Amino acid sequence: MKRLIVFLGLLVLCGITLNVNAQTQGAAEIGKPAPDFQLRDVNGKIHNLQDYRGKTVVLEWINFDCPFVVKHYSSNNMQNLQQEYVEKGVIWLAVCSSAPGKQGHFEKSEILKRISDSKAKMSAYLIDEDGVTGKLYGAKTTPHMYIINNDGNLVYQGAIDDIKSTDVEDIKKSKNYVKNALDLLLNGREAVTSTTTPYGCSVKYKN
Amino acid sequence: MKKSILIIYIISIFNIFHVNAQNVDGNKLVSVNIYSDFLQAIPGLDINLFFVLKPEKKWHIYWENPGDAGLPTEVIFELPDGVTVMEPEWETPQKILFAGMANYGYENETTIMYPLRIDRNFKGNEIKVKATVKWLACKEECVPGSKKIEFTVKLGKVPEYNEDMVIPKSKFLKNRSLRLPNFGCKSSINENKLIFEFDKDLISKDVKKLEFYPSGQGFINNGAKQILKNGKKKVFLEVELDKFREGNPKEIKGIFVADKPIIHGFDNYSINIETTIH
Repeated sequence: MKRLIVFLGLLVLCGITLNVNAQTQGAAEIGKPAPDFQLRDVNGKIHNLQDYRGKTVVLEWINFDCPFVVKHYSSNNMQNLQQEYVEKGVIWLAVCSSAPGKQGHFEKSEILKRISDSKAKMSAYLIDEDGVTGKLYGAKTTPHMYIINNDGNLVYQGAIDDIKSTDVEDIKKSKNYVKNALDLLLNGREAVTSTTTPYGCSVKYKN
Repeated sequence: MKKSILIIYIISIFNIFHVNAQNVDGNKLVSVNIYSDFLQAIPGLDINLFFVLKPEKKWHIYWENPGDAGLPTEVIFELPDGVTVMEPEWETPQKILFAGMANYGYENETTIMYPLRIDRNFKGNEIKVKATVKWLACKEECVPGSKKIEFTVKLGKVPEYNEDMVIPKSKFLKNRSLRLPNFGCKSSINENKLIFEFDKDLISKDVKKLEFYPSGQGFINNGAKQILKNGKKKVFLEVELDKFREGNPKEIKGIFVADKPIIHGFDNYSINIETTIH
């Protein structure tokens, strides 16, 4: 009986420890290894973050119907950034954490149409409809940008730029944090600004 | 055959609603009216402009700090020389919780008050105020909107109070955050927590729930539960900081919001706080 109690006690303790580890180790933190994830893209291909070790990775939380995302796509600001840095070897992953039935969640044909119509140049459009990866990274808004360096460490999280608005005219007046950080990283230097407050629509999580 | 027609009908109805939701005119989601507490002002006098905003049912607009998403509601003024606008005052916002995060905003009618200072040497017999009110209205989706308003304030030799504003102004003064110069509290940061400490007798004994809403974005975890602890003489409020904050602030501005009138003798449920972190 005593052995059984000790065994059950150990099981409970292990369970608690595993749970705590899952919660604390999973969360994204600046300067620490970016939490790994495995997500399917719009074409069904699985992407594992670990596969991109050795490359700079940009994560862009996306919802094509959010007016802040519209601002950066209707102006071609986002596509230009995607094209410039993908051509320089950066892996640019757009992640959609909109739950089924919520704004920004689309069927495959609609996603492909949106990507084609907007001439988006992301490396892949990843689907995170259960929101697990979004919450792991603490993604709050669309857009919400993250940069992972070639060692796999998270080096930037936050806004795309410093003018919080839905107005396209503000883009040319703004300071683009993502561009600045990528230019430094690709020149072997560290991003000067590692964290800013993201702005945009809320990510349309399941709950 | 009948089944197919029914399915096609249901799909088309769904599509109509879907298309409509995306084509909402943001300018029509919020009604805006403007009032002054003086029908006639005089040079050297401060008057108040009240912008009354009412979002459509189920939509909300945002406070000066929208929280984890959204945009603050703002008014951009065009004023003649000699007239200046001062810091606005807001009604206490609601905390709108979602998916572990929080917004600060208004689901019902709200008023923003802008004090205008008229220079004592101002010449003319009226002041033409041009204002553009800009908002982001959200429910499931978000839509930006704006409205341009022109308003004239007469100038004369004697001020004439707007009697129609007596009740709306007193309602606004009750709904805004109190500003008491002698209300003080200490604040400190301990690892990932911001801790406020104040004398127990400053807060009404009826208050059971107290929360801090910061004026600025990005340094507290808006969705996290805030913990109120009662000591013998002191009250402590623990607020979790945002792990992605841009450093620790040296000064804190915001409001304390209570579940009951916060200070004895006043009807307001919130109070402004501005403090240096020790």
